[in-house]
Amino acid sequence: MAALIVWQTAAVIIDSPLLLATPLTVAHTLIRLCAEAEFWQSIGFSLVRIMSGFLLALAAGIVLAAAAGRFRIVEVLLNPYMTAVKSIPVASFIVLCLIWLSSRSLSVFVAFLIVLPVVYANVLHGIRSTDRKLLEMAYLFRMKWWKKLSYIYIPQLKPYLISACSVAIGMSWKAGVAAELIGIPEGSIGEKLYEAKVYLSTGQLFAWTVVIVIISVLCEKIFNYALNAVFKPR
Amino acid sequence: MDININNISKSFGEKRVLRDFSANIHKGKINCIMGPSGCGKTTLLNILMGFLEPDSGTVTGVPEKKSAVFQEDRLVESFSAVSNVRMVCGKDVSVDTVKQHLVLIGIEEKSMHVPVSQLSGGMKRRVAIVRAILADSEIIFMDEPFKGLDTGTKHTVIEYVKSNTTGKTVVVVTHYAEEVQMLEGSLIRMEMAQDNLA
Repeated sequence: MAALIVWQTAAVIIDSPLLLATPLTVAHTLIRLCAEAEFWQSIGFSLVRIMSGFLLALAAGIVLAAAAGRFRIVEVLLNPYMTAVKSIPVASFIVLCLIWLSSRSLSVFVAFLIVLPVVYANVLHGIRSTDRKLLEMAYLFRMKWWKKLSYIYIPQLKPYLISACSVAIGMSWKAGVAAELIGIPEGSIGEKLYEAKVYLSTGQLFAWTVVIVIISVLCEKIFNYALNAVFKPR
Repeated sequence: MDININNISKSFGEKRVLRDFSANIHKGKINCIMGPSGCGKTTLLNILMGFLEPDSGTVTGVPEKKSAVFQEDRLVESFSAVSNVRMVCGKDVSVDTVKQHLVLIGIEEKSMHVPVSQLSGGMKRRVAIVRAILADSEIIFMDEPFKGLDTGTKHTVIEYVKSNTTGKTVVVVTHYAEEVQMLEGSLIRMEMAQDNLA
């Protein structure tokens, strides 16, 4: 609420809708957009692609971290690639992907590349932090691999996975929309932001930004809820 | 076949914990290991359980199927008592059987389904004991299993252990002669390794 008051006050003082739209203008724009089918189609377009990239990276990150946790050589071999993916600017990836892929699959690939090292590093750290004494217990009792996975590894990895997903979902949305803004795939949120820039429509820019924040937070909440529900201790 | 411990020695860096230690553990019986703190009882158990290798000497006749009550319980804290026991058991051990055993050892129904992190130290100890008893094993190692239990509970638990380990080899590490007597086990005395004597 305080932030809204500060925002409104600043907009009134600046008194230029081009530089800073008021919260009311943004709210009006949002209401108008909600009534348009194209608005929901754009959200659907970006949501499916960005979350696909996220989920693919989540699966790949877990598998690679499990392999690296089991075999030291895999960690050594993956290390330079993970470091490179973390260090290379997103913009370089986006331009490269535009050469390799169609702009419609751009956000999938960029979200994947951004999320992969985060999930990999967190899950590997979780595996390395698994209680050795519990693993000794499992060894002595000759626990089957799937029991070790569900009773020892998953409960210990859950906080690391939740932490990775919380960070990675936000990052995937930031990078995915940035990719769409550069690649301008038709019917994406990035295209709408581009149009807002071209037509100097600050209200629309702010409205879409609010939408991105809401979707990103919602995705994070839903995903954390699902993780907690699936891996609930018995 | 009995377990033969033959002249084993074990050192950690400069510190020698076991020195030419020999003993015989009787198959199908309760065997109690007693000795002063730091004489290497837990190290000996770790060697018998296969977690450590002796520097010299041999151990023969240890069965494949083992279970244990560790000094630090080693329960999965976020799971219930029932789940902690079930996770090491085969399908032949039903939830009802687990519950019956937990009741026998003094764990109430309402405490069986909450995460073990919410249980007292004594209750966790008893869950660890039931887990070791119900697991499919030929030998059970117990490292100070009655530590932290009040006198009444200790009697109940000792009776439970005696009546549920018939035919199994049990190795109990304890500091108390009273526990050895109550368990009616054969006694293996350990002394401080010569290098560790002050």
